[in-house]
Amino acid sequence: MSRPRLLVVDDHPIVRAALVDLLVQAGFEVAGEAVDGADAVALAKELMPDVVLMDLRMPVLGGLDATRLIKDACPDIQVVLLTAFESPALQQQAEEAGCFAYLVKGCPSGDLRLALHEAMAWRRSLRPPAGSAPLEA
Amino acid sequence: MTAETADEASPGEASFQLLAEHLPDLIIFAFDAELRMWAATGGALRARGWTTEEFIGMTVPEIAGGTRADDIRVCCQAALTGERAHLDMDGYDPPDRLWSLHFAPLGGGARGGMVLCRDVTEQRRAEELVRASQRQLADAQRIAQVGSWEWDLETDALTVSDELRRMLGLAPGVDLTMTEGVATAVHPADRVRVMTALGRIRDDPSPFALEHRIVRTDGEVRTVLARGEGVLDEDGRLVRFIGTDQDITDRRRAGAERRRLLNRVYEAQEGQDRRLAADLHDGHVQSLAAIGFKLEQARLRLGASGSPEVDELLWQVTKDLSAEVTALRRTIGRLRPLVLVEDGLEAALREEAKSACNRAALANCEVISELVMRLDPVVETALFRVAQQALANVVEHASATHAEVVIECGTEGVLLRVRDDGCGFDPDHVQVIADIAHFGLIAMRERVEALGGRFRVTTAPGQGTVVEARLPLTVAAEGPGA
Repeated sequence: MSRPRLLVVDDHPIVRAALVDLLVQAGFEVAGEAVDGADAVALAKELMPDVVLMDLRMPVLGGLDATRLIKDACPDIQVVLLTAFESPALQQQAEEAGCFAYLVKGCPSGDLRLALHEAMAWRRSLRPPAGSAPLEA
Repeated sequence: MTAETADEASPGEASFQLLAEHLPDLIIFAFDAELRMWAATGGALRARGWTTEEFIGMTVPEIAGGTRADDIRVCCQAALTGERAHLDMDGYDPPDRLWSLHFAPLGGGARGGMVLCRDVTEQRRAEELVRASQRQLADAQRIAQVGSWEWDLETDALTVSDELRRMLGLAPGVDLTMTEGVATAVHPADRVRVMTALGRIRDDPSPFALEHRIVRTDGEVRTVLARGEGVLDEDGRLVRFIGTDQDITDRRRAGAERRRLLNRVYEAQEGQDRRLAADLHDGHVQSLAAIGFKLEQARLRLGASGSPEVDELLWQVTKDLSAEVTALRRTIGRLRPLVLVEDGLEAALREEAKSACNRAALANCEVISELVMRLDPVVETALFRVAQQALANVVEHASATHAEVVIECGTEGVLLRVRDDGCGFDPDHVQVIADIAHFGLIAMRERVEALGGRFRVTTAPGQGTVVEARLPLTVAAEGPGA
């Protein structure tokens, strides 16, 4: 089984760099880094990662809008949202936008790795019935 | 009657005697064509210990003497020509008394006249007191900007004081009925409301108060507070209303200005909170999150070769860091509730209710909302802050098991109600101990009233608490009022 290919999207360079280092250390392949939602959409189409690790609040284009565009263009790509905002309403919106999981910055990193692996597994499994994808935090 | 005359009574003398008989409080002098006194009588004459003999034979000007002799001669001459004359005279005997002198022909064809003298000292003092009292009342009304009125229900006639006349801009002598007054002086936007109120009070003498705007004759709009009550006749029928109109324009403007400044304060506070939240989010939270990722990376690098103690330490640090980030996130959420900005009041209230349940021994905290659309952001923020404080009180003080947050919408505004079944409190006691700020009640009230709304707390020991805030749907720039 090949290493999961990720696209890491965050407008804060310090967070993006730390995330990339952690994910590489954890055995993921970071195919690319994006600094905002528009950058993420372009790179997702170009790189076709397995999973996009997406920030929520970013300049130019926010994470939810970017997720919708990515899911429209590339439905197989899974998006895991990683944000500093903890909100059931936002979680609901993330689900409606097509996110696979909603994680809050500061959560145990084990949760992050687990979510990424599950997203990867989901992508590799047979296409599930529409609407049955769970949104996990 | 005692008529003291020098000669047998002529027809003129008869009328003189008749007057003396019916007006015993007067001093009456009769004089002939040479202005010489031939009779003097009256109860007042005797009351002063004067006698007729003192005056008989003297001329009237001689009696008066001094500077008034000429004036009196002129008046006597007028009486001789059949005219009447009057003058007031003081400085006689005693000098502090004021006499009112009326000169008249003797009548009955007699050639002569008479002088009717009345001591009007007390009467004039009383009149001066009345005039002074009226001046004071007028001054008081002018200073207090209060005019008074009387409304006759039978004739609809409206009698107004000088101050009310000035407040309305009415010219002196212009009289109005109540119907005309409402039609011309009451602001068109308030006219129906005033007419409705007048119709309601016509059968009820109870005291009433009604605030409305008036339009002066020069076009200036003022705000008045009308107070009044009915007056019953001896049969118990409501016959008229008396009352006052107080000009409260300046008070209303001051209130509007206070609300505007309070709004500026709250806007500044919200802006400061937003900036602080943004700084915390974009700076500290991101840095701490990055540190957490690096710690996790360090743990992974150590792997199985690392010491269990070091791994345990790193795990603990990571866990502590995570807790700090969570706490910081919650602080940011309180400073700037993103869900309120993004999703509106109802969603924000649901999260706040859920948070309250997590923090307190509440079995449930239901949110019931009639909202179908987003409100003015200022209204949403104010209602959210009130609910946030009310729920914080429930969590910290109420010992409640059930709470509910209700939003009701009407044409006039939106009502927020936070109710709990907790221990309640004595509002008077809370105010007395000046601990009201502890419950945030002043802040809640000010916040609501700053937007022209109404705030109410209903509670009693053991009876739970209901906090209600009612706000207009949109907020005018200067707030309500004139």
